Amino acid sequence: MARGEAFVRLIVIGIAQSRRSTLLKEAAVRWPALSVIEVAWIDLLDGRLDLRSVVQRGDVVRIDSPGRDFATEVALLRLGLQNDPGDAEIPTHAQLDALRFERGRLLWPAAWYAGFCAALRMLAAQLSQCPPHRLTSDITTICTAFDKSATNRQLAGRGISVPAAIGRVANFDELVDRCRSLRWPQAFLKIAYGSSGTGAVALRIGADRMQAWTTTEVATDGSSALLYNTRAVRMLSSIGDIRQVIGCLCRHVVHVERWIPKAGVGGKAFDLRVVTIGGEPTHIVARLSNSPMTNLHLLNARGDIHRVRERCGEASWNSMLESCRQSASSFGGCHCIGIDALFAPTFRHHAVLEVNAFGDLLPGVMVNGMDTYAAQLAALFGQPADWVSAAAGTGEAA
Amino acid sequence: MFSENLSEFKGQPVEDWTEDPEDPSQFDKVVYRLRIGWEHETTVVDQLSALLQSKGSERLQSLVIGAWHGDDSDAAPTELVEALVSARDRLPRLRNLFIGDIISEENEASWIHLMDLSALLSAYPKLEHLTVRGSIDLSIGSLSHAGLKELVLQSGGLPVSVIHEIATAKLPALEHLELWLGVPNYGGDATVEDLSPFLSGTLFPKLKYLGLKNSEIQDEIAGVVAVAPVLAKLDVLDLSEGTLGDEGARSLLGSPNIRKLKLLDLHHHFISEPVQTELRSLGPEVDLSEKKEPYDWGGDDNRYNAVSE
Repeated sequence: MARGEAFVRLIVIGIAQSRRSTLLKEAAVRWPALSVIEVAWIDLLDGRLDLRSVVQRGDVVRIDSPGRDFATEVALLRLGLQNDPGDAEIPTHAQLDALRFERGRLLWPAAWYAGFCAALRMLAAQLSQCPPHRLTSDITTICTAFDKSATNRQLAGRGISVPAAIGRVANFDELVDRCRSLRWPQAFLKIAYGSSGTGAVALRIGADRMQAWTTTEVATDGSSALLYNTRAVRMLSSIGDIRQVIGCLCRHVVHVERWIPKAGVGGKAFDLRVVTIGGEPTHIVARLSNSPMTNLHLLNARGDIHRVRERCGEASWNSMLESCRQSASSFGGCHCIGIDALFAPTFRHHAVLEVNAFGDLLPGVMVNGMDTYAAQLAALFGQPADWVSAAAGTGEAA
Repeated sequence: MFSENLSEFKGQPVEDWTEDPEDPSQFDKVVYRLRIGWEHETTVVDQLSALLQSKGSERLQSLVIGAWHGDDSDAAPTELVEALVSARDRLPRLRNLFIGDIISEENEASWIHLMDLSALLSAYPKLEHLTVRGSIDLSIGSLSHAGLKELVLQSGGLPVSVIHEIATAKLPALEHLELWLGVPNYGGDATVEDLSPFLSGTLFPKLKYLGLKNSEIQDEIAGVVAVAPVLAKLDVLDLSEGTLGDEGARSLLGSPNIRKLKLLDLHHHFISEPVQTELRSLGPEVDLSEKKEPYDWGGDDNRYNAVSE
C-alpha cells in the first residue's frame, strides 16, 4: 500500500475497547492509508447492524474474538438455545434473563458454542450478499478450531503429531475406565469448546490413588453445575473431590486426551504458543508453569526460546515448526492462528495440542519490530510506511 | 517439585540414550540417561542392554536412570535394578548413579515406586555417589559400603524406616548426606528424634555436608541442628527447600558453631527481611534465595515445602 494508493478499509468484528481492539488499532497507525472500522459483535447479534450495510467493494473483513464481554456472551447463549446445543447442560431462558456478571464464571459451553457457530453462519450469510471483499478467517475453520475434539481429529488425519484422544466422556467413571483400559497413566480433560485453559483438569491415575490439577472450581446451584475459572491452580488428591469436579465438567461437553509429559526449561514445565501468519510461524513464546497448566503464565522470555532451541537442537525445533506449518495449512481458512505445541522431556518429539482461531493476543511480543497485529497487517497490506523508510535508511527514500 | 530433567550430572552433560554412539570416547564425555516416555517403544532394560553392547561402555563412570515406568506410574524399577546388578562386571568404572531423574510432568516424586536397593549397592562396591528420587517401598537394607561418599535421597515423604536404615548403615567414607524429608501425607513420618543419630557427629566420621531439608518441620530441625555436635565438623549445612521461618533462623543465629560453616543453604524459606540481614552478617555464605510467602488460605501456618506432591 504505497503512498498515494487508494484508502483500504479493514472491517473488524470484535469487542469495542477490548485489549485486542486497542492493540490492533495501535498497530494500524503505521498504515496511514488504512482505515479501521469496528463493528461490535453485540450490534450484529442484536440485529442493530447488518454487514450488508457495512462492507464495501475491496474491504478486508476480520472476525475477532467475541470473548470477555458479558452482553455478547448472553446474546450468544440465547442464540445457542435456538440452534440445537446438543446433549449437554443448557440454561433456560429464565436463567439467562436472571443472569448477572460474575468474574471467572464459565457459562454453558455447549449453548455458547452452538450460538457462536450460528452467529458465524449468520455473518457468512450476510457477507455472501456483500460486494467483493476479503475475509481473513473462514467461518467453518473457526468453528472447527473452537471444537477441541474436531481439531484433534483433523490434525491427526493430516498425520500431525497430536495427543491420543478419547474425545467426550459422560462421567468420571467412564473417564477412569477408558484411561485404565488404554493404560494411560495420565490424561487431560478439557471443556470441548472455548479457549485453552477453560475447565481443564490434569488427571493422574494410579492403582489406588489419583491426583488432579485444575483451575476450575465448581459449585452446584439446584440442578445446575456452576463452573468458575480461577487463577489459582489447585491440586486435588481426594478421589471424592476429583469425582465431583470432573462430574460437574462432564455435564458439559468435554474432550479427553492423553496428558503427554512436557519438557522443562529454567526449572519449569513449558509449552509453546506459535503464531502463524499466512501459514508461516512468526511469533513464538514459551509458556512456563510450575503446574501442568501452562496457559496462566504467558511470558515473553526470548531467552527461554533460545534455550529451548538449544536444548532440542535445530532438527527437532524445525520438525516442530514444520508441524505448525502443516497445522496452519490444515486450518488454512484462517490467515492467522495460534498453535499450542509441546516438546516431550527428551526434546526430541513434539505434539500439537490446540489451534486457536483468535490466538494472536501476545501483547509486547515483537519480531522485526512488529507485534502479531502489525505482522498480520504487513502480510495483508505490505510493509508499513515507517518500516519501509527505516529499512531503506538514508537511501532513495531520503 | 521437579520440573526439569538433569542437563548435567557430576560435572558432565547428560544426554538421553538413543543409539550406539559408535565413538567409544563418548562414554568419557557424556553421561547417558536411560528412560522411556510417551514416544518410546523400548524399555529401560533394553536401553541398558544396548548400552552394554556399545563399544567403550566399560568406560562409563556415571549413569542416570530417568522415567522407567512407561504406562504404569506405580511400577518399581525392579527389572532395571536386576539388570544393573547382573551387569556389575561390565561396568567396572561406574562411580555415580542417579535413579529417578523423573520430572513431575512424568510422575510426581511422591508417586515414584522404588524397592530394596541393597543388592545394587553391594554389586557396586566402588560406587561413590547415589541419588535416588522417590521413596515408596524404598529400602537400603542393612548397608555396609566402604566406597559411598555421597548419598542423596530426594522425596516428597521419606519414610522413617529408611532414615533408621541410614542411621544404622556402615558408611565410613560418607562425606555428603542429603535427606529430603517431605511431609507426613506422603509418607514422611520422621520426627526430630528420628534425626538425632545424624547429629552426634560420630556416625559418619568424614561427613562434611549434611542436608535435612524439604521438611514441614524445618524450624524444629534447625533448632536441634543448631546445638548439635555434628555442626562443628561440617562445611555445609543444608536446611533448604522447607518451611524455615524466623524461629528456626533465630536458633541458627544463636548457634556457636554456625560461623564455622562455609555455606549455609536455606533457599526456599519464609524468613523475614530483618532476620535475613542478621543471617547474612554471620560470616559463612548464606543462600537465602527463593523467599516464599505463605499461601493465603486463612488459618495459622500456610508455609509449604518445595517437594510435597
